[in-house]
Amino acid sequence: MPEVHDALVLVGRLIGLAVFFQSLEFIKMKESIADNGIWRWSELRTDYLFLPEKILKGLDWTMTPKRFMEMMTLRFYIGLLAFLYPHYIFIFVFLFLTTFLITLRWRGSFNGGSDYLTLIILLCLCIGFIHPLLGKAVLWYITLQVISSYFMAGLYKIKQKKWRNGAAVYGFVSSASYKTPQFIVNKCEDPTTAKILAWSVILFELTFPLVLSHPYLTVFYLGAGLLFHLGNFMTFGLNRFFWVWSASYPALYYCSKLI
Amino acid sequence: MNSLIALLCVLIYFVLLIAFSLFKKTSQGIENKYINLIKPLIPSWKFYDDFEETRLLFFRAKVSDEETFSEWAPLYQTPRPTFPTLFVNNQGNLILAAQSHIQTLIHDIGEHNDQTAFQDTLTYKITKNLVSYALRKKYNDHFIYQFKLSSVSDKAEIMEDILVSPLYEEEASA
Repeated sequence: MPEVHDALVLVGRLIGLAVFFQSLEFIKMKESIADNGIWRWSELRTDYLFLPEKILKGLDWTMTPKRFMEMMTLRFYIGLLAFLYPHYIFIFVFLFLTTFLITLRWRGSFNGGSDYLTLIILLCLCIGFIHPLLGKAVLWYITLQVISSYFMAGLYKIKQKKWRNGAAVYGFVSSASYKTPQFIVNKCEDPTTAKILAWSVILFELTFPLVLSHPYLTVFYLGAGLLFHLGNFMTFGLNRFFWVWSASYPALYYCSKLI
Repeated sequence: MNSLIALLCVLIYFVLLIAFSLFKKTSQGIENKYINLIKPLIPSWKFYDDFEETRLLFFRAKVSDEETFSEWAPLYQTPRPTFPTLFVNNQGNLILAAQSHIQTLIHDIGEHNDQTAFQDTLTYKITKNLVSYALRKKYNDHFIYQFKLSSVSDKAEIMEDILVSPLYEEEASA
């Protein structure tokens, strides 16, 4: 049976790698947060005027384009440090705080679900290394959040008629918002294929809690999960989800061994 | 015995999730600003559930008053995924963030009261920044532009305009 510490270390390494890539992306898009960019702090701060003056001043100090980019550069190196030496709480505290500031900079999140799971995993790692019992608790917490992420997504989809009849699949892949590879669009144009794909996604998501029920099913669902996220990357370009969800899988593997 | 209890707890957890999903209000119903700050820590895990219609930002631009406007064109489209972008996808994620912003824009248009001009809202300002940021990369000199938010068909044909901006003028940065 894997040790709590080993599982936490592996989660730490993988989330470090995810944060490393994320930070590099932010560094490369620095123009978008400049004073003449898209997300200008001089405008965004009006969302936070309700905060106490000292906190707002602290945000003003941190969120200038120059400091924010310095912070992202530091986050890039600390992410690498987390990958190499994922044993120090301060690493995860720093990564958690900077990820939280990113959510403030983008009015809730920059990349939706991937930011949320990054925050949850980092917060858990801040706590989990304190004591083995806390470590076990946070691994369970990550596991339940990840299973919920699939299960709830499946539950919301099955309620929608357009998901049940497959129309939603074609709608998303052919959407003008995404440059989905043409062969995927062509395949999904066929209503039967679209329906099969839609139900495969719904059933995969809804039955994901079975990941904990048997060692073979654990391997099957984690393997299928990786393929699912790769498919989402190929279709919609969601690369961050692949790395962040992968980082959570050691926690699921650990918890499945406890049952 | 411990395994059985753990399995039972997991089972109860998911039964409760189903029950709550039937009754709970959406996360957009949260009014408290402090709770909104920690909302990323309590996600709803909804992905691709709301399939109604696609809404896109369109722009048209010209470089001088004498010229006629170009046709309305979509402002952005996520780049095609390639192997390197599995690791670093700054352009794709920037566009995904812009799409998330469009969802906020649609929500705020629906919620807006007439006491203040919509152009004065932060959401509108970010939208305008988004358009001028993209156009500055296309035009090297002074340009005049207009943008609109429209619902589109599967074939990206404009069906209905939701928001149309006034004309703006901008000097491109050197």
